[in-house]
Amino acid sequence: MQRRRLSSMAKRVVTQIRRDHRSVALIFVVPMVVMGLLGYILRLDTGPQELGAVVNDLGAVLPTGDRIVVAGELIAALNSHDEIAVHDLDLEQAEAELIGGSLDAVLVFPEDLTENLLQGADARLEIVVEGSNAGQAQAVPLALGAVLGQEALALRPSGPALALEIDTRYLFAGEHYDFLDSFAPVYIAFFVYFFVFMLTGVSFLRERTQGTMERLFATPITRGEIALGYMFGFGLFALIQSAVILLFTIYVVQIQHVGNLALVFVLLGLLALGAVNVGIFFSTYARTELQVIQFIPIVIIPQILLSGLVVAIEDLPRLLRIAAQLMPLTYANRAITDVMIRGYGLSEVALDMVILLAFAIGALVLSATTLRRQFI
Amino acid sequence: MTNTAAIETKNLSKAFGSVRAVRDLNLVVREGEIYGLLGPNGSGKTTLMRLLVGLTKADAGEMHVLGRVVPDTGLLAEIGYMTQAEALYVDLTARENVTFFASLCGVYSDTAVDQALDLVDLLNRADDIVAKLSGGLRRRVSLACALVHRPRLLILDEPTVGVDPQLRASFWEHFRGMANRGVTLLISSHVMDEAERCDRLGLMRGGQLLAEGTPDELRSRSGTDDLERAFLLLAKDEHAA
Repeated sequence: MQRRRLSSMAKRVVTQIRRDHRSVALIFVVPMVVMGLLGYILRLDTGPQELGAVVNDLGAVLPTGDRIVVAGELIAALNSHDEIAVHDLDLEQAEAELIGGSLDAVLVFPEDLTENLLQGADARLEIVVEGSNAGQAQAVPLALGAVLGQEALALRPSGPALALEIDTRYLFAGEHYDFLDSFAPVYIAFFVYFFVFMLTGVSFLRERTQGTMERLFATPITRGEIALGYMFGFGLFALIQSAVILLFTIYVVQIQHVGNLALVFVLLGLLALGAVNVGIFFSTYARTELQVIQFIPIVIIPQILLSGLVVAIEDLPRLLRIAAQLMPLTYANRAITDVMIRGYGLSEVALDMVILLAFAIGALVLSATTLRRQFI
Repeated sequence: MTNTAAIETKNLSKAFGSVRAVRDLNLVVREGEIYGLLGPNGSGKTTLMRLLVGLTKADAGEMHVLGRVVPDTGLLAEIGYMTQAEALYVDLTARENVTFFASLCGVYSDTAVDQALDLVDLLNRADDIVAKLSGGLRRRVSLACALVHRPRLLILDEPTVGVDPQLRASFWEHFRGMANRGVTLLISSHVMDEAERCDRLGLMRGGQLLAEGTPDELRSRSGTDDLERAFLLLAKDEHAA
């Protein structure tokens, strides 16, 4: 080994990297931005736990002649916690808000709650959770049950303790669903988006570096035909990939699902068509394959962090929520979760489908117009 | 004469930043002739060709190609363009490349593809992946892609770079044959023995035409028998003037 040769080699590498300003910027800036964002959203103060209360408790009359409604006392006790906010609702309303994500759990107090407690019989109380997020579905009832138990004890400092039995009901999925079951749908969407983006980005770049793009433009082919041609060509592989990932996840990894797989497949297809065009669009701003890879932190990572994969979109602060709404993966995640875990059908996910289609068309127009900018 | 001009430019100009690649260029290429563009690297030959094909937009001036105003996408089906770079899909076979470019110009016949491959003597390697072909063979594939749709005008940017003398001779035989059938060829080169085979030559330098004429005219004008010397002398004259 000769020192001079070695240092020439190292010096050349340094010069090359230094000259690629974008790489240098990305090496330093991207990790900071990503870590900052990740730290921010993971430590986000998600506000108080929002609970719904469906009070059917009729109460009872004490031997002293006073009337008591235990449900009301418990709600007042819960409300005294800063981190808990309880809203009185009827069951239908409460379940709707649970599905919409504005409530974390709903407490259903039965008619005979007070009566049973006073008579020392089994007093049952129901906690309803949404269920499609496995972590939340297990943690929320557990924590809430503990608080309720404590408060029930505190209601009667003297005399026999109030023995509350708590049942948990899941609107969807349930306790037999684990972490993988609830995250598989969004992982599938992510993989499809990621690989299609990378593949198109790199192969479209190659079209320019090997000179064939210039040759194409010397034929009567239009820019729209080029973009659409790419979309159909890569779209085919994206669909095959979607099908393979989907079937593998369901039949080999054996995740639980209830929905219509054909619908999931269509949603993945729409997502992939958009990814093809986003790949074309970004590749026109890259000179090398390395620079295509450098778009991952810009295109892919924010979508991982904000599309509901890490933190529920409802819990994000306003600005980030708006950012999330500009990302196709957000809609794909929501719709695919709706279908696979909630068992929703076409009519419920039609809006998300239309939005994904709009993203695909928008990206197509964008990619076709950037093609125009290249030579003229 | 003007109604038989395949290419006609008037005061054509194109600059890239401060570099004026083409300056007030007036060029007429007649139908059915082989017009050779000669000039050193950076003299504007490639930019002129890219302007004619519509790959870059002129800053000023007019261009008429085959009687139509450039840019015109419809025109492109009648032009065959070969770039200096190979511009091939290296993971496809030679035949697949030629078939693809033929189809873009509206030619879908296998016989046309076979004929183009035959013309560049590639039929026996037609089904090889381009990545496995040598540089010279790739040039042949590029040429086949440029002429497969039987264009009326061929614009060839240094088509014989990296091509061995034997094949170069056969290329030029084909060029002459096509010109005899009425095809117009605009060919850039800096090889003087190729210049000799052109009907007319244009000497380019600094984005302008320094001199133009048949090889004989250029020789007599500069008072030498050697085309290479003629070119150097003419370039010097213009520089002094």
